[in-house]
This record gives sequence, C-alpha cells and structure tokens, in this order.
Amino acid sequence: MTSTISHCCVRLSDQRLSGFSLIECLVVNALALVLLSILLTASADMISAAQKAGDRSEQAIRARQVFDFLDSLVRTAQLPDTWITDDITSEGEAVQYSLMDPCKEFGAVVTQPHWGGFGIVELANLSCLPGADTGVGLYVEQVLPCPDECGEGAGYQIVSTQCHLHREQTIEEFQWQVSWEKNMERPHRCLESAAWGRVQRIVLRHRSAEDSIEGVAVLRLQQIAQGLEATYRWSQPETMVLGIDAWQLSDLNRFSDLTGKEARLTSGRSHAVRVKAIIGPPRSETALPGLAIERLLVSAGRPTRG
Amino acid sequence: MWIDYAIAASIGFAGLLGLMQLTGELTALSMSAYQLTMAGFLLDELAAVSSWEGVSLTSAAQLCGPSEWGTQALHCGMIEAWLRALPQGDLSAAADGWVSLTWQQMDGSLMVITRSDASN
Repeated sequence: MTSTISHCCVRLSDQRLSGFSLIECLVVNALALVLLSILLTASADMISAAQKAGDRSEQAIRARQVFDFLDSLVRTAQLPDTWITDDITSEGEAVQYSLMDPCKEFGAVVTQPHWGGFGIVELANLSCLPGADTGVGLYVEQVLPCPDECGEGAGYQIVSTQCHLHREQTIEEFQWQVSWEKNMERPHRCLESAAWGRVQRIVLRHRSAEDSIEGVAVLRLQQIAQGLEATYRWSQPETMVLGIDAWQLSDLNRFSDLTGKEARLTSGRSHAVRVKAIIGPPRSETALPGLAIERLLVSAGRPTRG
Repeated sequence: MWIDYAIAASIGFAGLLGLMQLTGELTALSMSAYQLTMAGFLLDELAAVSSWEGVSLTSAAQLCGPSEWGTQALHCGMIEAWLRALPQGDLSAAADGWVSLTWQQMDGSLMVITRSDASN
C-alpha cells in the first residue's frame, strides 16, 4: 500500500515536471521574439538591398537603351560606307562640318556630295518645330539605305545623280539629291547598281518634370512627318524615355579661343558631341541618386556635308 | 513538445535561409547586370575616344587606363570612373589588337569582356 502511494506520488511528481513553469514560458517567448525580430530585420535589410540593386541595374539598363539608340542614330547619320567612293574622302575634300537647317525643306534640284550628320540645335531658333521649348536639342539627319533599312511608305528619297545615266556616261563628282516619293521602291529607270535610300530628320530634346504632363522628366523625339502629302513639316513630339532627370549636350568641335569668341574646328576629322544624361531612379520611394552617364558620340572619320 | 518546437523552429529557419539565399542571388544578379552594363559603356566610350583621337583601341586602352604617373594623355571622359566602379577592374591591351576588360563578380569569379578595332 505504501509503495503504491509512493509510486502514485512519483507519477504525480513526474507529470508536473514534464510541463513548463511560467518563468520558463516567458523566457522562451522573449528569446523567440528577439530571434524573430533579428531575423525579420536582417531579411528586411536584405530585401531592401536587393531592391536597391535591382533599381540600380534598371537605371543602368535604361541608360544603355538610350545610348544604344543614340549610337544607332549617329551610325546612320552619314552616307552608308558602300555608297562612298575613295576619291571623295581624301584630305583635300575635308570639309567643315555643318548641318542643313532643320526648318529648310529638301530642294529637289539641290545636289550635294554629302548627306547626313548630327549636331546641337537651339530649340528657340527652330520655329518649324511644333511645341518648341527653350534649350538645346540633338538634331540628326539619317540616311537609311534601301531596301534593307529604309522601311516602306512615303518619305524623302535620296538617289545618286548617276542613277539616270546611261552605262557609258559618267560624271566626275558623285552627287546625291533628295526628293519626296510616295514609296521607297527602286527609282524608275535607275541603273541596277545604283544605290538609293531614305533621308530622315530627327530632333531629340529634354523636358523637365515641371514642364512635363507625365510629371517626370522625359526625353522626347520629333521627326519630319511621313504622311502621304509632300509638305515638309515636323510631327508632334513623342515621349521616348521617361525618367531622364537631366540632359546636357556639348559640341566637341567648338572651342573658345583666347578672346572668348567661339570658333569651330576646321579639320576634316570626325564630328563629336558629348552627351551627359542623369537617369532617375525607377521608383520614387527608393532613396537612390540619379545615375550620371556621359558618352561621346562620334561620327565616322569622314568629312560630312559642308 | 520539445521535438515539436524543434521542428517548427527548423522549418522557420530553413524558410528564412531560403529567403536570404534568394535575395542574395537576386542582388548578385542585379549587380552583375549593372556591372556588365557599365563595362559595356566603358568599352563603347573607349571606342569613341579612340575614333575621336585617331588612335587604335589598344592605344586608347593604354592611355585611358589607370596611369602609374597619375595623369592621362587623353581626355577619357568617364572611363577611369567606370573602371574604378568595377571591383578590381583592369583594362588590358593585347598585341593582336584586342582590348580586354576584367573585373571580379560578387561570387569571386572573374568576368572578362573583349573588344577589337574590327568590332567598332
């Protein structure tokens, strides 16, 4: 009997030992909370770091897209290499770099040895551009060879003046002329070997967040309209990229002499424009500074139109 | 009961470790994309500088890379700054006209991209 009671007491005592006291529970809970808060803080920091790295990468990729587009514009801002004969690239014909006025229509009777180019324009001086702002823009005159790169539809077509010559005829200087055409098919009665293409003009300009209807700073693109009518006019500006906080252009062919007067380099070397863009963070809540990218846009080392 | 606690805690830890690994890998991927984009900018700018200055790409790489004398013979724009932004970034020119840009990625491996005058 005694042993039974004793056994019963031991069992009771064992049952009490298998639980937790209040103090133990509190300590365990406190430890669990501390551990959980440390882990949550650490993971929140890691998520924030990953988000920042992702935003930084997105800024860089957006910058890359902008500058790849600018590079592609500059690459086509001249007559294609296959159209150029060696004799006109000699040093003797090295010409000063100047672009045709963006507001001046292509004259069908005007022939020139060079077309295409790029440069900086004062927007306030360009009355032909709808919605013109102040400041500067990047003006590009592209020459896109047909039929591969020029697309379809009406536009300004460039052909060699040798296009309509008979096989036995030659003219001393290679000249090109531009005229409005309803499509970009091969010009009629043109020699098979003759090259032709489309001439396109583009202006890129920046609009600050205050002036923009989107509420963010944007880069805008404007080009000569490709409607069916032959009227020379510029289209309304379109938003090309959002979030370009700043945009600066400087012409490397211009320099100030000792008197402070601005002059232009007269060598027949490449033409170059330095572009600096500050790409804003993709999300405003990310405390990330703008990514400043500065690039040199250089034309091929060949004289362009004078 | 202890076993229940241990199982719950280990599941929680495993989940958090998985989350940390995932965010770590996302960060590494984003950093790689950023560094690769910057490296692309660097080589593009180097090609533009070489074209503008009328020198070969290898000469431009030698003149724009970090100089022992602390000066650069060319106006190299942001090339030096971008090179510093790449961990252990190194620009080297080979005799065959190729320029290679090397840097260390987050996982410690080396990334190399190359360019030549012909690809300009």
